[in-house]
Amino acid sequence: MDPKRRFLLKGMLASGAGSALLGGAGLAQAALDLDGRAPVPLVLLTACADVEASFGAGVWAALPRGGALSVLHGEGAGLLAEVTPLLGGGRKLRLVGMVDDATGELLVAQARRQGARMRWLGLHAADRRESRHSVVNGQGGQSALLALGEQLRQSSAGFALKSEQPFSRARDLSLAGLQNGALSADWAVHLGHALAAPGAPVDAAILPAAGARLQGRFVSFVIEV
Amino acid sequence: MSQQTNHVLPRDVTESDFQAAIARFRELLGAENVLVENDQLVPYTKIMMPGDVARNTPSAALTATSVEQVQGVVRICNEYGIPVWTVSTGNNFGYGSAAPGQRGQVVLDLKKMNRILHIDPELCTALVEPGVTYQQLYDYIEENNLPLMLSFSAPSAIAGPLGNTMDRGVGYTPYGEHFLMQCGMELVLANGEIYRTGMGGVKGDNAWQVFKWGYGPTLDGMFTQANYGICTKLGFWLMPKPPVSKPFEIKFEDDTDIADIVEFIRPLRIAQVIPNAVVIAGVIWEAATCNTRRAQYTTEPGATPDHILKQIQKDKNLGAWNVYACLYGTPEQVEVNWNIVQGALKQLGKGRLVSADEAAGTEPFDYRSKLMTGVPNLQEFGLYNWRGGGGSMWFAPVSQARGSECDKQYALAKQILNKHGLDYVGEFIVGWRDMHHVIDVLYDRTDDDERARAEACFGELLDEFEQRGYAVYRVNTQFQDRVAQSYGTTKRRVEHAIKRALDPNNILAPGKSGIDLANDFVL
Repeated sequence: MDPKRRFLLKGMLASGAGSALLGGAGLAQAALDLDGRAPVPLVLLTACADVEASFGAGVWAALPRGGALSVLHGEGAGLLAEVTPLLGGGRKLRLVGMVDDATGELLVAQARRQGARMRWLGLHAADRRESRHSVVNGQGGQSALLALGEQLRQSSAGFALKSEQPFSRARDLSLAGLQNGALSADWAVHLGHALAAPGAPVDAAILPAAGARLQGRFVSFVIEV
Repeated sequence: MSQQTNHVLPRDVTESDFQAAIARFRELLGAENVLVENDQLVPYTKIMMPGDVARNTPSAALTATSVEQVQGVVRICNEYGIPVWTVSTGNNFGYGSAAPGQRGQVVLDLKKMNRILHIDPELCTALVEPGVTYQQLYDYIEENNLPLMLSFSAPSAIAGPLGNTMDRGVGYTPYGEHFLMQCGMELVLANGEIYRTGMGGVKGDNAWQVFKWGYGPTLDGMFTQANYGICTKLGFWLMPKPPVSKPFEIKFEDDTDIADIVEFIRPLRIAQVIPNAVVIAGVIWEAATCNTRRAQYTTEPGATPDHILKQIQKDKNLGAWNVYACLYGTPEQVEVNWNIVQGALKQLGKGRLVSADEAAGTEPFDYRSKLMTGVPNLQEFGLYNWRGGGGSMWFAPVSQARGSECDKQYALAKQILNKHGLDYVGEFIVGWRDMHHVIDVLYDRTDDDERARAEACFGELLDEFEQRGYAVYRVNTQFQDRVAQSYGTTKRRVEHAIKRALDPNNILAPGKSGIDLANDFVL
């Protein structure tokens, strides 16, 4: 990874956030809570096989050796029915996922109902021409934004990345790449890793290469209870 | 205790006053019910409108558990000039969800006030708190084996009767005009006083949920789609569960059939042969709710071409228009009405009748059938996957229940939507004499160009419909001031005069339905 590029992106992100980005905890802390005291069970939610093979692979790669991960597949009311007792069960839990738009709406509504924290909320669109990413950041989302931005800039495809900063005095951030070319699903792999291991540097060398292109519209999130 | 990590403040409130108010909220509600951290507030920013998230971002969110706490909240808001935006279940998707109408407003989330206070299975009435969902009510009715049936909007399982009724939402049963079935409200006024409508103010009275009007002016309607009080209890009527429910569908092949369909349905609806709020759904609506995505047919930007719509219609065995209706009653009553419907359809000479036996187990028939027979479900969320990208605005003009009116509205809406590269995703809901023409303006929020087109499109829909004498009955928070203009200056002045009288500090949901004392009206 080019350190200059990393520095450039860091500078483009909200001031003050950068210092936490690169010196953060490594992979071994991926499943620790923010205080670093106790392991927090991690649950991966995916809408379909393509998402699991890309985003999900990134999440798996972020797990510390021997780390456990529960996986829920599906969409709509069925997935909501599985997630609801988890959110309301009174146990600490971290849900990381990428699902379809309809399911995303339902999950955000349920997260609010249960008083959960949303560390990350992103909308993604990918087709054969480009990918677009629109992110609303909670706290701690800057490192994932950095990872996603870096990956997109390194890819050979067109992209647009926008991060709205509604809670901040800072301006919204946007990056764009105008290249043309085949779009891989690597962005989803990197994003999955970054969301599962907040603050950890993403080392592309250890990430699995994405297989098929990932096309469609998706909602990514990190929900904590 | 969590510290505020956002930099959002309510309009015209200083940082020190805001922090003082937050401290008072914590004393009143407990720190766990005062949310001020970004991560806690993100779910309150999930909007589907085209504007930036920042314009609908709250400074804080509060959760109250009692009427006394709601009274305390408004007293603190008065003291510090804090504007408060109230949500009940907060699931008003496509109209604003749980986000405040204006940046910085404090959201008062009443989700924890979720008690079913009373259900009377003989008088068929209910009294509920704001956080009660239709699913909760349904479960209660089932568990207690009560002979009652619910009416609800499509996000039924997670939406609730209080919020839906206060926003004048509609359902799909004979009780589908929900405000009409409302009977008795309890409201916390801006000064903290409690006001009960109808018979609710009479000490010892037990007719609050059976007689709407009480004595003197009847003010219930004034509090709907308004910001004059916070509704903390709602009474409403429930339909007795009929011995027989017979849902059915009629499919029509051509989109030019809409006028004939309405002329066919209206007399049956007005005469209560078909007693429920009949739906006439367009092809994309139907396709999306049986899990079809646009990308399965085309990835080209813009409006979906008609030849593709025809292909989808064929592949999914849909009509260009799909009529859903239901008959209720004893077997004898249903048989008589069924014969009348069949006779009228024969006379019309078009339309393919589909019975529940033929369509059972298939979507979208199943979820429509559930909506008409009071079984909550979430199937209609499939709309959000049609185009994807998280953008949705309901454009909902009303009209007379005449074929010519619907024909005109459909053609105009489709032309404007297609011009902006968007699809007509619509349905007509047949009221007793009116049509709610409900169109989901779906677009991709990740695409700045499409967001801009959606915003322009919605504005043009409002303008062009208004020029022809049509207006919407409900709208998302981004366009509420614009829609208020459609109804004329005198109405707005009256509404602002009432606001000034009841809420002189302008603390209750400023901007709701365009009512905000910061507006520059001469009263």
